[in-house]
Amino acid sequence: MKELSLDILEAGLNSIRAGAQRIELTVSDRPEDDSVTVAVRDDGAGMTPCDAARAGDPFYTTGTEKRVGMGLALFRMDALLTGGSFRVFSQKGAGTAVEAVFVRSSINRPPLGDMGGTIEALLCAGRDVDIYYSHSFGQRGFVFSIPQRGEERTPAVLARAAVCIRKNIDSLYGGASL
Amino acid sequence: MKSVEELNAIKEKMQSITSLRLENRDPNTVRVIVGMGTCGIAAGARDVLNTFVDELAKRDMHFVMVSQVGCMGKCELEPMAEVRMPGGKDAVYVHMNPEKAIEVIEEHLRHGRVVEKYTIGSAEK
Repeated sequence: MKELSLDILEAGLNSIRAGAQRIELTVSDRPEDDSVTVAVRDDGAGMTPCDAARAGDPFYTTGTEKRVGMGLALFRMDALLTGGSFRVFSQKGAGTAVEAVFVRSSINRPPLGDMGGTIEALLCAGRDVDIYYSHSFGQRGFVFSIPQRGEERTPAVLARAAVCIRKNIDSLYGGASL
Repeated sequence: MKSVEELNAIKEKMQSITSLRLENRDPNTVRVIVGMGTCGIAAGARDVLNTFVDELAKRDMHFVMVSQVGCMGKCELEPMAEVRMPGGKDAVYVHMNPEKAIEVIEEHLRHGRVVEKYTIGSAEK
């Protein structure tokens, strides 16, 4: 993927497909450790430990409609190419957490990209899902949440959410992007 | 907001949006369906989807419902967007980008004219 935010979108859409009511997206940018940790947690259907262990394998799927699944495989590849790590924690019936650690200074680390656009697309896909997004940069950060599950999410609301996130990221990084 | 009239105007506007949203499953709704499988996302479907949502809202075209599906089966032609127009012409647009999305809104969704040059038919000739 060209952007970290696209990996996050992919994982978030997986959560929505798994019937999640609540999705937590976390980006911890830690220049002091030379790492960027991206986590996507949901309370969806979850997987068995066996399925979770192979979730990053493109040729492993529990689906019956298709034989390959590149989504998490690309996320995993992006993280491992920087020398980082990728883990999937899951419990059947409880939810799933995907955690990818990127080496910040690696030439292979994709830029963060448009997180505002990613949140907008997720809000549009999961109209009745609570979405929480927290982003930290060193000691500073912000939290964005839309917990109004069931309330009307008009296109204008979605667009405003995207603008709000872009502004927060801009002020966090002083205009430069991750 | 300064007066009751203004409040009522907002209420009326929102009701029209909400009532259209409630007719989601109505077969007469005009729909735009964007392929958001891994292939679509990697090719830029997110920006196409958001352009449809934002630009339709800007134009107050609330009669159009934007939704997402997974892989549409032609990964090399992504990002793809399908327009379903009951009583009009349907079309599948391929290799979409935000600029093409705006053209589709203006031509197809507003005026009912299919933008032939972006359709799957002309791409596969």
